[in-house]
Amino acid sequence: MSTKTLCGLTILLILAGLFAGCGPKETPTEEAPPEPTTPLEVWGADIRSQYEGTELSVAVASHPSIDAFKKMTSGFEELTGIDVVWDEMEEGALADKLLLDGTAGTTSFDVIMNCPEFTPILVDLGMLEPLDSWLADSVKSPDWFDYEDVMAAYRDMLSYEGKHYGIPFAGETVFLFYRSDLFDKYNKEVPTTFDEVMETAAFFHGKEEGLSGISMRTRLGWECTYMWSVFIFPFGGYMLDPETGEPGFDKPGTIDSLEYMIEVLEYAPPGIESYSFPEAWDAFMQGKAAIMIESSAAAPEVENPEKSVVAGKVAYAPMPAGPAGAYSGVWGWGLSMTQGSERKDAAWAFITYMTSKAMQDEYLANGGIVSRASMLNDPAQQSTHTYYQATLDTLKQSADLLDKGLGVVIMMPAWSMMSEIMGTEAARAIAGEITAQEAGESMQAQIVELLSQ
Amino acid sequence: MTRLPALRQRNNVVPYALILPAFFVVFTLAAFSAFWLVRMSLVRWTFGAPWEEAVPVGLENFKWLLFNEHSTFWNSVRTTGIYVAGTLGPELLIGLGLALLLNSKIIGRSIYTAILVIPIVVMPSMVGMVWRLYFSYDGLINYFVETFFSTKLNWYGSELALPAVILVDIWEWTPFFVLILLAGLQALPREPFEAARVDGASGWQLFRFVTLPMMAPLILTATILRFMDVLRIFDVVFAMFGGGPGTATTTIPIYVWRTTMVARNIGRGSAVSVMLIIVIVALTFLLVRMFERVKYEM
Amino acid sequence: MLSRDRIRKRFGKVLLNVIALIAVLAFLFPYAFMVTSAFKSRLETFAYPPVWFFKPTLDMFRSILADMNIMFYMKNSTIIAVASTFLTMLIAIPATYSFARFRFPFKEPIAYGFLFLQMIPGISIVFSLFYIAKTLDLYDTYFFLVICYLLWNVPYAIWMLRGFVEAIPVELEEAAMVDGCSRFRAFMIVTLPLMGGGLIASSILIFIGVWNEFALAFFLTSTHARTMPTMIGFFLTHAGIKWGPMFATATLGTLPVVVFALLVRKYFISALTFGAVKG
Repeated sequence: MSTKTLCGLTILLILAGLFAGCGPKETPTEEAPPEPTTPLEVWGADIRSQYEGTELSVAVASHPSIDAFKKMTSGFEELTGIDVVWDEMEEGALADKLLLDGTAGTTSFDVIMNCPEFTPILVDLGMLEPLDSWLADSVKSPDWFDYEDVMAAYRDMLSYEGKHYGIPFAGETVFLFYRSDLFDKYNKEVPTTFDEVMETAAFFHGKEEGLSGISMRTRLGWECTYMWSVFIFPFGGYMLDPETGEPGFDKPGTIDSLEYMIEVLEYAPPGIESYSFPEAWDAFMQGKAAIMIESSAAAPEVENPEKSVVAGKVAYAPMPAGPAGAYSGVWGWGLSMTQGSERKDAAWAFITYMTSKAMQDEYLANGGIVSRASMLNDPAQQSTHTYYQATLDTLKQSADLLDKGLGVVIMMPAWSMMSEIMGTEAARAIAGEITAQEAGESMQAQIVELLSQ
Repeated sequence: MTRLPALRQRNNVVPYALILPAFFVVFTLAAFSAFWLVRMSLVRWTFGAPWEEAVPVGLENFKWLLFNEHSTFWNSVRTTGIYVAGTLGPELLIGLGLALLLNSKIIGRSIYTAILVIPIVVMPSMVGMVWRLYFSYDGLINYFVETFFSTKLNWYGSELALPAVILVDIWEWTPFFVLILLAGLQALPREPFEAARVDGASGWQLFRFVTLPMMAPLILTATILRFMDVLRIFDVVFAMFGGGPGTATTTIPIYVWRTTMVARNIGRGSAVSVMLIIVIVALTFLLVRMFERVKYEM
Repeated sequence: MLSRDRIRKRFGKVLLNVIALIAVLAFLFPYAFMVTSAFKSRLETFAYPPVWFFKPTLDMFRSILADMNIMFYMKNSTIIAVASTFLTMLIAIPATYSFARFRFPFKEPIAYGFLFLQMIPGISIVFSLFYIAKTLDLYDTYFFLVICYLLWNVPYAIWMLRGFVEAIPVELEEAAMVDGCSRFRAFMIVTLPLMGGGLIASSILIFIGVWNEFALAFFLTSTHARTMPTMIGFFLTHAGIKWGPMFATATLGTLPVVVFALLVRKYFISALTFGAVKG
């Protein structure tokens, strides 16, 4: 027994040593803050006088903008004396967590990361604070915040039933990424139609060692729906009829789009059926795919030489056209306040600071995703971020879609269940379990039933 | 195990009083949650909506799951079935083989039995994540596959995802069989073996006619214990693939989660749970029979 | 015996030993690789082909301490596991004694009733428990988790401990009682110490079960009571999968358990089979 005890104790001692070795964090030396001069500093001093020492709990999913926010946090904490506790998790886990917390009626978080798909559900659960009164208040929403500067499409995406529930920080569209170096090398033109995309992907697949044609996310559930929804409309399909609200999943256009997706994925890296967006982005960033159709949020990562071996060799294009036109979609993320928070003013201060125009330079420099017109149209920013033009183009393409009364996200509480059905059946078709036709019919039947309740 | 004489009881209440706290806590908890579960299975209810909005629908959830053409319930039953067969069979055979091996005089047996404890006790959810990495295209498993077979396999695809999960289970639970069967082998009486050897039995005959019959109750007990656990597996599959790709790894417990939290149909999810519990309770009856036989023979 | 026979026999022995070694190493290897990889630098952790020789560093551990707040989760896991174990034993031991020493009507049905309840899958009733927690306003509390775990732990403890109590001759207790002790005192002075090893082993195994538990911990907790298993969602980031921190976290999450399990492996077999088989 003694040898065993000795071993056990030794191991425990080693573990203890590990933690002892990680010494206490250095506390920043506190100096007397200089006299506030700029409007931001004046605001900061004002906030500090009222809310110093408050601790905010922020629930977020992993996202480049969140990384940027985290880097900006110490600046915020110094300015206002408010402490921020970040709770970062995977996107799916965030959805689960918010649903559970909302249903349980607890208020663990003050600020949460919100997206169009979550909004109707969270509003129904009584979890979100409507922000219109805060926005209208000129003291609470100072000039340097400049809400109007945020692209209209993004501002609207977090509104529901006429009220705004979130301040967007990252706007997202979907566009085409392609390896300009490979295209130059093989003298290929940028594809402008889906047929050309198919042909280009087939061309590049296996052209070089470890190279696949195309990469995108396809994992079952929401991710599959996300990606597929971009394909539906260019092929003439639709999710819900703009006039009657009837589902159209068994219509030829919708099914064609799914069949196309299945076909083009032949030219994707192995394992594609399980790809979440990190894996899809990673494949492109490690040079394993010639084209990628993915969220604009991938662009900063792709251009980051520390993580991406193809940084600087990528160019961007708007979405290719299908038989029914070229469309894209608008998603994004924003910060929302929970209705049950007991620190709403402090939370609002946090939200305004992080998403404000004044902080944009720092935000973008730290890898934040853009959502503001001033930044997107700024020539200096455009030259640093070569994908801004594609972003503007695809925002226009999304507007074209919205003009037809269609959109990639349907703002209603049943959307999450609808997208789950879509994402499950489509993923089964992609995995080869069923045909696209069967998937479409199955979805149609289930969604008709869902909506009739 | 010795049978003990009953103590003289002065008080008929004492035994019940001692059991009372345990009984109270466990049965109350179970009763409440079971009651709620059944109630939830009989309504149409969205997760998140208040209870008042739940619509009573009788057995409709069950009927939908079992008979509706869009229901993937039977898919998940089939997936679970493949999972069970794919894990129990190999685990038992490899476990028995390894147990027999270790039963003969092997150097370092005590170290081996110590090492074999590890896969059983490691945190399934975290280990599931680690295995997810191992099965990635440029992961550890493909490294060995490439070394021996000059090819890399797509474990994330719909054909190999379930086998991947099964392999992880085999890694985790074969030691269960090894340790139990080894203990059983070591506790076998010598006489039947000696008698058989005197009669001129060969190694194989010894195994088939002496070892196996004597080990049968233990093998059965271990298998049934494992069987019931396999039906409940959630952590590892959740961490590795979350039921995907498609519905390739959607076993019944995963199906419960997807239906309840992702599709937010708590009525249906509860119905699946009810059916699962019924099956497991039925199996426990079997286990109880086996138990009694093993207890007496050890 | 001919020397050829002897050689064949010895060769056979060597072969068997080699096979056993390889088989056991196959089980050890995935875990050992994980633990050693936790000491690699970031680029080495996901290098392909895998890196076998490297200079160990504590980078990954430092990163999870700083970024992922791992001490918080370990603290929660420890509190909940210890509280569960303690409470379980407090409730289970009297019941075990009763089953082991007394004969009374409905004894076996009640005992098997406990066994049946233990078999309920966590994921099946977690959503029931969620709504119960919500109604009682106990969502995301240590208390509720600990109480819920009793549902599985108490029956398990009873079944495991019963054999240990029954193995202690009742005469010893009777002797103490003849000397003037009450039954309770006799139990405390005589039986409990003799149960020692079994008691410790059962406690440790219950601890391990709670430490590893995922389904309830994931769905019944939020920012306050979250335990280590719920951390699995932290490693899938937009910037790719964080292999290094995951290895480090998994190492910290599993190493204590492995150490404990090894300390009590004498009782392991008994634990795995609910006391039906003595190790």
